[in-house]
Amino acid sequence: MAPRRIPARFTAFFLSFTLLLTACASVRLVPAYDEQIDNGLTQLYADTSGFVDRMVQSAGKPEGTFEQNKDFYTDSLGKLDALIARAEANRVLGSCPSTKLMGAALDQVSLPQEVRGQIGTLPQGDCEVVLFRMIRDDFQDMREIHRLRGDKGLPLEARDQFLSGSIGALMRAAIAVEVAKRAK
Amino acid sequence: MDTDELFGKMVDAGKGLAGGIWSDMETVALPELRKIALQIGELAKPGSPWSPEEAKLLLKMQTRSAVGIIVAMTALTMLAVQNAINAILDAVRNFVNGKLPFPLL
Repeated sequence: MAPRRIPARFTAFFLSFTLLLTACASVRLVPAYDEQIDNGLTQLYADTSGFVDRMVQSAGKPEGTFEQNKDFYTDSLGKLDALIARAEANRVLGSCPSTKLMGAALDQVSLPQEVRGQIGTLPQGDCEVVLFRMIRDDFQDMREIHRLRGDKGLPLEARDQFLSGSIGALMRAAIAVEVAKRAK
Repeated sequence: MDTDELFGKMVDAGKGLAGGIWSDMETVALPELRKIALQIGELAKPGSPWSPEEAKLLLKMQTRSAVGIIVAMTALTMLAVQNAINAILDAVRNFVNGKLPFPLL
């Protein structure tokens, strides 16, 4: 009985597949670690934490008013713009898989229209870009709250609202992503 | 060819992926989501120092941040998937190169 021969096209396919697989040095789904983003984010977190603490301590005094401190917001938003630009330059996929899913999920949740309108339209870009844009949106809202408070300044509760939740939580999550990339 | 060792390395990559994602959930996502939930609860308490307009903005910020935590988890998950795929590619590359009379790479 003659030995069975492997069809040439199978052999070619196997060899091509193997070559392709082994030729791929590595797969990249997320941007490489960027030290400037890591440092910039960590510094912004420290600056924000210190700022909120100072504002809480200065509540009811001129040095705690929005007018006396609006430069902090301008500076922070500028720093975030720089981080976003850098993250966009490093982008790999150009989209974040959770963005579409989240939009679909939020369609099914009953949220006040005002909240839904803002949250439902998630920023576009790689996950990191989306995250930085959300932090930027949070900074704009914090600025607006500070402005609305007028001469009263920020109350003690601002520390937990801004640092334990909202901006603080987002920035810690973004830093966790950078730390994970650095550890890789 | 003994493929058991290669299979073992592939399984290890998959185990590492699942463990890494769960670890990120436990150390990053869950604590942050708990803090955000607490702050939303504070907004609803009587005697809050915030005006209705300010409270509405704070609620928007907290909700956005909760969504952002999921976005961060997505980034961490993608990083874990990337590492697992690369571990499998490395295992295959080493296996193939070791078994063939010439290196493929």
